[in-house]
Amino acid sequence: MCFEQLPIRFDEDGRAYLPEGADFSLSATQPDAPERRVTSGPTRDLDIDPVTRVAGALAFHTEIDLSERVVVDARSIAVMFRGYELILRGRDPLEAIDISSRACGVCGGVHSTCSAMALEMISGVRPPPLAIVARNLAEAAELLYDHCLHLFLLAGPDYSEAMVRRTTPLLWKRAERTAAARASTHGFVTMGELMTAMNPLRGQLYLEALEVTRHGREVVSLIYGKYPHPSAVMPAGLGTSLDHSALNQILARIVRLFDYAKRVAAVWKDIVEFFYEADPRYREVGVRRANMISTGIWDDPEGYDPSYDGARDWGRLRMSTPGVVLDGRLRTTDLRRINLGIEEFVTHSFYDDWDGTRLVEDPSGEPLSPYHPWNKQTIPRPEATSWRERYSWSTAPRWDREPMESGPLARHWVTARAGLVETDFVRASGGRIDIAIPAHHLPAMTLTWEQPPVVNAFERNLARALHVGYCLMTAYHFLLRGFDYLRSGETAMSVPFEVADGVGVGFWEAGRGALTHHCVIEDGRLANYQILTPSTWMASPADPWEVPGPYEEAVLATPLLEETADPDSFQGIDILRAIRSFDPCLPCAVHLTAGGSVKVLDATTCRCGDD
Amino acid sequence: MLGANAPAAEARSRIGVVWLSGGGCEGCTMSVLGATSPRLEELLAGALSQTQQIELVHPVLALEAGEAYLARLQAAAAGELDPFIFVLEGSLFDESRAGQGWFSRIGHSAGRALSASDWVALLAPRAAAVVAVGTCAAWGGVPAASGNVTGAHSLEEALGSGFRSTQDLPVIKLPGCAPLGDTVVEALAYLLLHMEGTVPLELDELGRPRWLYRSRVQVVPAHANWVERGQTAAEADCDVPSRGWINRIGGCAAVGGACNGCTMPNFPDAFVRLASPRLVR
Repeated sequence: MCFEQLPIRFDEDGRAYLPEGADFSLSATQPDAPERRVTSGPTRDLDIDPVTRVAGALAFHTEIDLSERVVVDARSIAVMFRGYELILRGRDPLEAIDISSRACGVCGGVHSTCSAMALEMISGVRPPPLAIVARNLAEAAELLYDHCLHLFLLAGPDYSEAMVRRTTPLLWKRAERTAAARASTHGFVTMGELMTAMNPLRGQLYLEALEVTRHGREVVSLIYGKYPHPSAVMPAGLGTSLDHSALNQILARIVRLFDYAKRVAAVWKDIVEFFYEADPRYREVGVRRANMISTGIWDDPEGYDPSYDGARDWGRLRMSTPGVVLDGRLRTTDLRRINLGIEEFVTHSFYDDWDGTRLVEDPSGEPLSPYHPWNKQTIPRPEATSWRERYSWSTAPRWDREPMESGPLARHWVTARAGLVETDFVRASGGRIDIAIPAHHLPAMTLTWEQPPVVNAFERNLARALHVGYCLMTAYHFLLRGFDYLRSGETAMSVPFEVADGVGVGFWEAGRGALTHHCVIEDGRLANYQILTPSTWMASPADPWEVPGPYEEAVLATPLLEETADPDSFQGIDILRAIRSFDPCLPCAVHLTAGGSVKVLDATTCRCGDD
Repeated sequence: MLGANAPAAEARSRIGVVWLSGGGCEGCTMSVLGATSPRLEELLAGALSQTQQIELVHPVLALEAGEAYLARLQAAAAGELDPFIFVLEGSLFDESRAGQGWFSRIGHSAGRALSASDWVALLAPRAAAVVAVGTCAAWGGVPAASGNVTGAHSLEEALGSGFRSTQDLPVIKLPGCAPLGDTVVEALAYLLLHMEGTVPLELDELGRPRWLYRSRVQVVPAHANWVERGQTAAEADCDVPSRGWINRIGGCAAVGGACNGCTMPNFPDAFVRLASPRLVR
């Protein structure tokens, strides 16, 4: 069954309907709230305010018991509000491309692309094949930059000598005398050497990753002109040309990274194995249920048709398959079902609930929740922080009323289970993905991702490391398609486009996961524009059923393995590893819909979460 | 090794660079990390300024988190990092509109959340130089576009147009959404040289380094054969057409992309619509 919590059912033809008497009321369903841990020892607050080395503004509140080494409470706090969707309301829809792009400068091109896709769905205009190739190439390059940034600049320092030596001196001693299993690929003889290479601003791996992000940006800039915030994105094509010269320059940069992708995979496999062997409890750092969502990326140049009705079919042609996994099992790969299952709640967020439903059905005539982004109106309600009331500017998105994580691990999991992807370089089947990378200075290698028994911080990072190879070989695949189109004279990059009234959604992904732009156009103007980002999904506060968001769930399960016994020098490194493994990106996460104006409350009953 | 020929760190004087992120998208930081001429890591390793060792406090690059990170901001506010250059990325909000809550929050002090504006008030008056990186900090940018409810505004609006740093400099603006990474790193490098007395710092009437914003570009939609690409009345000051986007590669005009005036005051309201692709009739 596609949905268990939502009341939507399907008839014999597979059409969704709402059974008689059923509705979307919150009391109709009762997801299981995990039991809060109770400990016997004394607990203390550990506030990580701000969380650094993430994109954007995040704070985290925890209550920990250092005697039992457990976390008893965890609250994820998105701490900034800019109000972009209020800014978008009433504007010319074409402006959404440039303005929504500014939601995030880290995921610097995905928003404009997703926005253009929402507009082309409404107008029903399909871009020419070469433009889709160009969009795919830009996306692959963007993810290459983004993954390397995360693996070595944001999350990486948590595994560097500088951090390991400080927080776990015994583990550092072990690293110094442990031979690195994949030294022949990455070149570091011991794990200690490898960790030294991850030191911020000085380590070889850190500096190399910084340089690699530049190769990624160069490829994006050859297509989009500028990055972050492209200047060539438009609906139904791209405002750029993709000639032999551009493709050759891209080819040079892809080949340059063949060896790098092998080395990144070797580095992170060695890190994961080292920690698991040193202490099996590292498997519990950042662990949570295998609930994941992926909206898919990389369209088929000829199979993509921007219609909502056709989204099941063109979505399944994507080079990274869209889908939802619940408790490890693939529930759907149909983009329309993915869309139908999305709701956003504001019980613990600084917004008021909204009244009224704009749409009771999606464009295919299937039942839509009043909490769906197309129906959402956000009314900001800044007030004092209270864990029992409201504590974050992020909303609580849910799919079938369950919290979802997203990102490379979700991408691999869905794609491997669906088994729909096969190119000359990437093959997905039976819960595994093989990525064949040609020889360069290093010999040809096949990198393999296999479905892990647990979803935790280490598996998230490893999935991202392997996704570097996935992105690279997907870029190579589309580059070859691009040369084919040039050879056959199919060089068109855009077709005429006009804005139309209607309802649309863009399905795309940022490096860190699923991205949807939900758009309603009335009388040629934006009536509602909703951006639902991966970090909104994952930074989510608790929902109406008091089920914590994914960061919170992961931190609640994290054992505190830091070696210090002194509470004053305690860093919370295991908590930070859990949080950073999701690749948080808060500029993306917080924004709001077209809705009412700000309601500022007068002094509320003070149950201040800050104390 | 980077900076191997520079004098040993201990032989050089130390200068802080305190970078704060306000209401923006972190795109300026990303742009700076992409700079190639010079690279940020070269600047930090002392490859350019032979006399000064830079100590960078940056939320995305810091090893520390939480209290340990905040302690460095507090040290700067207490004068323990003097002299330092204060850099703001992103706009600032009118936090009074948030009642008992906040629109931005960077840590806390004595049980009270501190906003980006609170930190600006603590840091800017002590700074040897104050730099507004990107269009949000320089002019307000997208968060300050019409329809905003946060009262977003620029750094200079917060500090007052008569503001001068302890070295008697006005707010130095490096607009662009995002600005070229090279523009920011080059400006910072130049500022260091200026502060050690090596070079003059010439700002234009809007407070931008004159040599970095000398070219004029026509605001136009992206190229496509169905798009009306007539003259628009608007222009922007921008060096991207002559410098490319990164490593002299790309650039809006070079690939046929739009110029949407992203370096200018009143971006996006006065420009984005002009740069949207319209069907020729």
